This record gives sequence, C-alpha cells and structure tokens, in this order.
Amino acid sequence: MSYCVNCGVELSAGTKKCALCDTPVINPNELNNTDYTPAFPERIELPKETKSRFGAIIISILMLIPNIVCIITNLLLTPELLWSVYVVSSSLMFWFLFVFPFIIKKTHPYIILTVDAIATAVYIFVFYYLNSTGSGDWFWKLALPLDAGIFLMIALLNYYFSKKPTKVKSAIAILTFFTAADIFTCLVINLYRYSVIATYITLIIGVSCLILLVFFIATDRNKKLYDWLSRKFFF
Amino acid sequence: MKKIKKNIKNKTWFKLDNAGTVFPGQNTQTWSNVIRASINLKEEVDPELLTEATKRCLPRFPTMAVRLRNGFFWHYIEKNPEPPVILPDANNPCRRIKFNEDNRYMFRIFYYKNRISLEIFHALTDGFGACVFLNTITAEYLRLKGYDIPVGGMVLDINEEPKAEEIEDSFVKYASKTGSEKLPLFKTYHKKGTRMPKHTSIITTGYVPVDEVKAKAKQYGVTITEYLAGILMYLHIQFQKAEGKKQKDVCMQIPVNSRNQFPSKTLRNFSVNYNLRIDPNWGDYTFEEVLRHLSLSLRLTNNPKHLSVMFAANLAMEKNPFMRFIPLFIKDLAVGLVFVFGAEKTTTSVFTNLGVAKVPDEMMEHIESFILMPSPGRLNGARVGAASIGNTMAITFSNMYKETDVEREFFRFLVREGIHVKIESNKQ
Repeated sequence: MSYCVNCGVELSAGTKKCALCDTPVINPNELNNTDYTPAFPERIELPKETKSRFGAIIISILMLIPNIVCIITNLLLTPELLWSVYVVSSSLMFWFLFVFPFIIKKTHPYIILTVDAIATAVYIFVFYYLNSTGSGDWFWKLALPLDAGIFLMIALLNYYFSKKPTKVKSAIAILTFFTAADIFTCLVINLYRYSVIATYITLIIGVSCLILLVFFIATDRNKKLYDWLSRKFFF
Repeated sequence: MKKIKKNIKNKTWFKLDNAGTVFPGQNTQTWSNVIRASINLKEEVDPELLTEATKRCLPRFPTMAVRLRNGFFWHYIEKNPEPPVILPDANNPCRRIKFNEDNRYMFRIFYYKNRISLEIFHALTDGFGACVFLNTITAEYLRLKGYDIPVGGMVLDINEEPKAEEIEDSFVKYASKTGSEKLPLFKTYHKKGTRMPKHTSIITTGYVPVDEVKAKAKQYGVTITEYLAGILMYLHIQFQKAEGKKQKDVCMQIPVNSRNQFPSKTLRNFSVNYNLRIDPNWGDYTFEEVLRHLSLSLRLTNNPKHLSVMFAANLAMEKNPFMRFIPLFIKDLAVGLVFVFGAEKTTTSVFTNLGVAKVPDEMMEHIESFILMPSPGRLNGARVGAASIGNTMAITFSNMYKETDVEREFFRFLVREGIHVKIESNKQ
C-alpha cells in the first residue's frame, strides 16, 4: 500500500507515479513489487475515421457523368460551338473549391489556398481565351494580379490568425486586410483602365478603414486611453 | 392490462422520450453523450457467460435492445434483432457512438479483469436506467456462475414481461399543464487546458468511505451531493480567481433523478438538470459560504412543482405544431447549433450522483464497488459522476484535458478534510 507524498491519497499497489500529480512513488518496502494491475488496459481503441474521402470520391464520379454527357452532346450536335467548355470548367472550379479538400489525406490551408488560387486563375483564363479577339490583355494585367494578390492576402491573414491574436489585434488584422485589399484592387483596376496610379472613390473606404485602424492600434498600445474610453463610453 | 402487455411484447418501434430527442442531434464524429456504469466484482469476468447473460436480459429491456432510425420528422428506435456487442475494455472509455456500428446497438458492454462496464447512449436512458440495466445483467451473470441471486432493488426479474410503466415517457405524464418557464442562458467560466487527442480522455476514480463523507457533510449541515458539488464549485471559483481574468459566473450542473419526486418506474430518461450559479464578483467566498449558497439554491429549486414546470418547458418545443412538421435533418442541425452555442457554455462543470446502487445482499457479497461517470464534455474540462455501494463511494472524473488540476485539488481537498481517498486512473 503506497500513498502519494504530495496529495496524501492512497495509490494502487505497485504503481510507479501518482495519477494526480505525477510524483514518483518509491515505497522502500515494495521496491521489488512487480504486482501492478492497471485500472485500465494500455490498448487505445480508436473508432473508424469518417468516410469523408469516400464521399468526396462518390461526388467526383457523380459530377463526372453530366460533364461527359455535355462534351459528347456538344461534339455530336454542335461541333462548331464549344459551349461544353464552360460547363466543364465551372464543374472543375466547383470541384477544386469544395471537393478537393476532402480528397487529400492531409489538409494544409496553404496547399488548399494555392490550389484554389490556381483553379480560379485557370477558370478565368478559359473565359479570357475563348472570348478574347486578340485585342485585350485584361487577364494578364487585371484578373491574374487581382487573383494572386487577394489569395496572398488571405494566406497572410490565415497565418496571423493561427497565432491566436487578442480581440483588438484580430480587429486590426481584419481592418488591415480590408484596407490593403481595397487599395490594391483600386490600384490594379486604375492601372489597367487609365494607366494611372490612383484610388479615387475606393479611397473613401480605405481611409475609413485606416481611421479605424489607427484608433484600434492606439487603444491597443495605450492602456490609459483604453481605460479612459472604457470609462467614458461604457453601456 | 392484458391488452397493454400484449402491445409491449409485440411493439417493434418506440418514440424517443422527450429528453432523448435532442441527443442524436448533438452526436458528432468525435463526441457522443454517453453514460458509463461499471461494477467491480471480486473475481475475474468470464466474457462468454457475460455475453449469455446480456442476451438473456435483453428481452426484459425493450427500449434498450434497439437501433436508432430516422423518420421524416423525428428519430425513433426499433427492435434490433442482432446479437449485442461485448468487447474487451480499452484505455479510452466513452468513445463516440455511431448509429451504424456495434451491430447498430446504442450500448456497449466491456469487460476487463474483474470489471463489467456498460456504456449507453443518453437518448435511451439516464444514469438510473443504465444502472438498473447493468445490475440486472450482472445478477444474471452471477447466476450463470452458479450463485443464487434473488431479484430486488435495481435488479429486475428477467422472467417477467416488460411493464408499461417502465417504458413510458414520464416527462409527458408529469409535465405541468399550466406553468412553464424560460431557461436562463448565461456564459460561464470554463477551466481550460491542453486537449487530449481525439477519442481519448483522462479518467480518474477516487474511492472514499461513505460513512466518512456522510459524517463530514453532516458536520456542515448538507447532503453528500451538496457537499461534493460544493467542493467542485469552490475549486472552480479559486481556479478562476488565480487566472486573474474577468470573473464569470461559476455554474454547477446537477442532474436530478425525478423518480425521487414522482411515482415513476420508467427505465427511460427521467432526470433533469439544475444549473446552480454563483457570481464571484460579489466578493471572496469561503468554502462554507459556497456550500451554503449551493445547498440553499438546490433545496429552493428542487421540488415537484418546479420539476413539473421544467418538464413542460422542455416539452413545449416537441408539442409546438410548427416545430413538429419541420423535417428531421433541419431539427438535427438546429439542435447541433444550439448545443454548440448554448448547452455547455452555460455550465462550468457537471456533478451527477446516482446515490446508492441498491442490490440484493446476496449480490453485494460479490461486488467491490460501483462506478458511474458521464462522458467527457466538449467545453467542461472535468465532469464528475458518483455512485456508492456498501460503504464505498466511487467519485469519477472524466476529463478531456491533459491537465488534471481539478481532480488533484478535489481529492486533496477531501484528504485535508480527513477523508481517506484511494485513486485509480487510466493515465499511462
């Protein structure tokens, strides 16, 4: 019979450490006692994992059928019009966004974000390629930078939130995201359309976000200001 | 009466009772609301005899020998023709129950050395029903071993026909026809820690002598349940104070067996939860003050009229014609969301005390101890179950966190109070 020197509780015969505080149990009278029966077996029984991968494969096969039907119908009935490309590319886009994460064994947010960014770019490129008459270069100068920029910012935001920031810091991060996304979008559009570096109307949103940002950063850093605000505006 | 008997025997499906309707919606791939009851015998368990005993007992429990089915508007349970599942115990009890596993049974029976354990989905029954089921199986097992075990207490006669009052939904029978109340929702303190890997938890059982605990509780002028729940509440107040953050309410959930207040003999769910709160912002509480607060709150609220009104409040949703016609998948989704955003957020911890597991004296000779525990929570760090047999009370913590601060401080508190504690755990 042994007792924990820390907790004062009796422990099972032959036990090597206290179950409550992990303090080693050394009973001089029972040094050679190997007669220990654990309260539970060591074997851990893990239930079967969910079959989300199996379900995703089934959905993929189900999605494949209407696409094949569309391609065959297109080629047989209207070979001069490639309308089935829109159906297939839309299905692929849907598949990459909503089914692909369940197919891969280890879901990593950055891999999924990269795949989504590429899928979106390819989807837009299909429209660009089929509809461009050789004049526009909107895909390279407008769509691709916007796609890459927005996904990069989402990845950065994801990285920041993985560090579990405080509520105020989270608000700062979200506002920074909206401000940066807003200014970046406006810049890219203006550069493409008017070849000028300008932000025009969207600057209003950006400035509003910036003011809020400054406010949050100030309250985060200045405890006196935070206390004063809490005192004055409590409700 | 004859007609009723015939109906039960031939009945192939049952509605879930009022409390049981919510549990399937809360069920996830990693968590189920499971009750685990165990009996430690004085000799090693023979799995073949245990399987035979379980098979013999099942016809006596028509609402346990079932599988869960989805109707268009509600879940229902139907007779399960498959053999029951008897498994060797593992290190991680109270794993999730999936409705298409284990021969579609919603209970599992485990054996390990001299212990028989029953894990049952809460939709079928509460702690009392689980204990009656386990005790009846154990009594039959001992009979197969050659001992003469009579019927009585929590051991039912398996040669009898199931009775109508055992399968009734007592919530409906005893709900208030006139009164109702809105259940208050408060966000409360939760002691957090490092989560254990999926499907695992830390189980710690402390065996204490009933007479010592009873004497100590009597010294404070409270019952055993109030005394032990009071310790848990006091410790959580101290934990929160040490964390130094904004002080939230500490709320103990105490499930109460309504059979003590109403003449019900049902083996299905018939317990409700009292949520007893204390606000640490009111000042520093001594242990005696916490105990007095909890004891008076429980005594004020625990009466048949209040219980009856609580049943009515729970039934209101089920009886609402608009709610009844909502398809099941939407109901399940809503229940799941309410559970995530409400439920455990409103309680700090759970303390459930079965009381004395009453078995015939001839059976007592073969039993060392009786254990009851709730499944680990999804937000509540340590949930506690207690049950006693003879002079041994088993207090069991099921904890989803690696840190065992609550258990450690709880049992240390008992030791400081002069109560002898013996500890067992699944910690490796």
